[in-house]
Amino acid sequence: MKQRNTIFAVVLTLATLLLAACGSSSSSGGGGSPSGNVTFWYTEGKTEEPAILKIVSDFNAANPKIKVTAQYVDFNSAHDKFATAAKAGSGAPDVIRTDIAWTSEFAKNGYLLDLTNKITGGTSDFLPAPLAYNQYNGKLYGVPEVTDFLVLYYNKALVPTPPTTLDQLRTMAKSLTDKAKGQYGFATEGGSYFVTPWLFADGGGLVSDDGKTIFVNSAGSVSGFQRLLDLNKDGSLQPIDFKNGYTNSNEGFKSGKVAMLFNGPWQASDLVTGSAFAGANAANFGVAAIPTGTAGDVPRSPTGGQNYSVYAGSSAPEAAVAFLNYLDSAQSQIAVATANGTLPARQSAYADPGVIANKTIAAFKPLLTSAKSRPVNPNAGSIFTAFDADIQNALTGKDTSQGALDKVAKDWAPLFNS
Amino acid sequence: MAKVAIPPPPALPWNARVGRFLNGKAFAYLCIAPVVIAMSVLIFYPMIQGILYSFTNANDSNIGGHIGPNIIPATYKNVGIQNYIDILTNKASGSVQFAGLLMQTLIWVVGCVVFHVIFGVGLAMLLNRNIRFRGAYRAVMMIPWAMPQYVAALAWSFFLNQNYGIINVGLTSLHLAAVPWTTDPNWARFAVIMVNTWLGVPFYVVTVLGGLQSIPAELNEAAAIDGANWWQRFRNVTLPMLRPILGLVMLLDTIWTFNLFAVIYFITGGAPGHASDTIISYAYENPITTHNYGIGAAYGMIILFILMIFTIGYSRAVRVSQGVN
Repeated sequence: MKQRNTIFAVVLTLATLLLAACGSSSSSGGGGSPSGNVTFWYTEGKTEEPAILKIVSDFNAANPKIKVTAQYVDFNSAHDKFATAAKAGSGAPDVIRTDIAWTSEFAKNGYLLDLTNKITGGTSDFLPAPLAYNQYNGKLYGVPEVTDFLVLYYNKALVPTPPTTLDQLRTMAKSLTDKAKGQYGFATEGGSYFVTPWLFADGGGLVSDDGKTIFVNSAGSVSGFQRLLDLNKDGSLQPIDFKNGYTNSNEGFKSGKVAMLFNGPWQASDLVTGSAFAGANAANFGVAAIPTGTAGDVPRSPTGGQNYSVYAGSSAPEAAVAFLNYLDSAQSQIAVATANGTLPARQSAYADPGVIANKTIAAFKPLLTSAKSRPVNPNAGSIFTAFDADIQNALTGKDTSQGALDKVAKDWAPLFNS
Repeated sequence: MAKVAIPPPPALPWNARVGRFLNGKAFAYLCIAPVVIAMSVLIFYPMIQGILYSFTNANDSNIGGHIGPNIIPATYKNVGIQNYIDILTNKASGSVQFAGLLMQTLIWVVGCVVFHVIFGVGLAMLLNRNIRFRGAYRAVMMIPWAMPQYVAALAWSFFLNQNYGIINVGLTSLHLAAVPWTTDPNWARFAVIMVNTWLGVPFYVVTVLGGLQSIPAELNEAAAIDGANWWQRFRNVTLPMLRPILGLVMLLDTIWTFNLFAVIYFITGGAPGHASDTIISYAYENPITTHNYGIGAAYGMIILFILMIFTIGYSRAVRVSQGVN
């Protein structure tokens, strides 16, 4: 009997050792090069995806000891999915592509690995504005991949000269609308992010730079938002679908049913595939700065972009950092920019002939100065969630511009005062 | 007084001891132990944790945690019943009215259950006759039920797309006005109830069909001989015989519908401006996606309270009906 117990104990010990060995084999060894399995969540859509997947397969080929598995996660659900998995401690990826506004929030909650001094070649090559979103409490929690801002896309077949003021845009949109033919001057998704250029146009904003004062219901924001409501009142907006508004506004523009649209560079590679811009119609695709509230004013558009970060609970942190460094190297940024027409976050990338030759980047580059920072605040990741219902109420006429934005301000108060 | 040495009781043999144990209460406790342990771990512990969180300002960043090298201390604090006050006085959010959510929950539950009963019982009665291809009809009827809820909801959201959905494209090609599915509050409410009706009818058909088949044919025949017409037979024979099963199905349906958020989430997302949000879909969407655990837990407790009232009401009703019988 006693002997049997001893055998059992030996077997159990061996099994434990074996399991422990399996566990540690995925993390890196002492002095050698990092190894292990790395999961990577990317959020690029179908047209942008191939460039990213090529970088991943190139990295896997060059680093036999590391195996990177890339998984697609829908951008709209990536924030909640990662936050939930990171908190639960299981199911989170090792490397994640995030919106710039999420990084400080994730860092504050302890989800991200401190990357200070772990970036090959340092951080001096990154554009300062996108880099700022990666810092929290003096430490670096991510690296910027692309930067973006909204612009006016217009169909040159319908709009020979783009409007420079929002008053012009309203007049043009009205004359371009023909409801019987399903033809509309302008389209918007009816959600919060795409309302920000309207809030900025008359000198309004979201919050002050220090995050202490909420500007979203200031006089400038209210009169700017009223301009969008006026377009709606004129009937110049493609009928909004609050559930599928983003896709529908893009599809309207692609098919030529919508003449003008506000969107970012990430959508350009998809928009040009539409029947209104494909093949012989390629010259009809127009990009211009967001029209201003008053003539001669500076165009203002919200800064956006995407970062790469490493999950703090990664089982192979060194392999993950090695992959991150490859994924965000100048070479990778150039490859992505050339293929997708997105704006790289590394200054050196703009010197590359392939990037210079890209038509979309060439159109966007002069407009880079119109980018206006969104609040760098750990609580800012959630600001757009509370925003949508109020925008919807204003667009359906249930609320006024002032009333809706006052409610947004009320919802934000606890986020920025805590 | 002479001391009398009390002899120790004779030690029972082991099998007798086990026998005494098995006959006593201890055995009963032993038997329910697995269930009690499982329920404590799976139900009571999270529930108590939820009750405790509902009195705090816990959120993602102050709840603390230990992830890899990062250790975040827990800094959330007790706020008493502030979360409940904020929710009930509409201070938890600028755009949501608690009374509005309750009203929409009522419309949603009553609307869905009523349509389920009407279509479910109707279709079951149609299928209960001797018709050709009855098996095929029944199989087709099962499709909405066999499909995962979110797949069905997504498919419907394609049909209901404002600009490109098959319904609106069809209407505009006939020169009719497109339906504002997500921008008109009443159409949005109609859309979610319609989709959930489509989803929920098969369950009624299956159970009601079973109930119909257990009604002895003699009852209907006797009623027919007595001169009862179709409606009178339905009203006085079929319906009373179906009542026990229909009551149970309706209770289950009420609880399921109350707790269902996938349909609302995928069809309208609560648009416009929370008009089609029920308390469940809002409780999922807002406090949980903003990771405000305190408010989220308070919503959970309010929902639990509503369901408890309902369940108590139901068990009373059952007891009364049993007393009458």
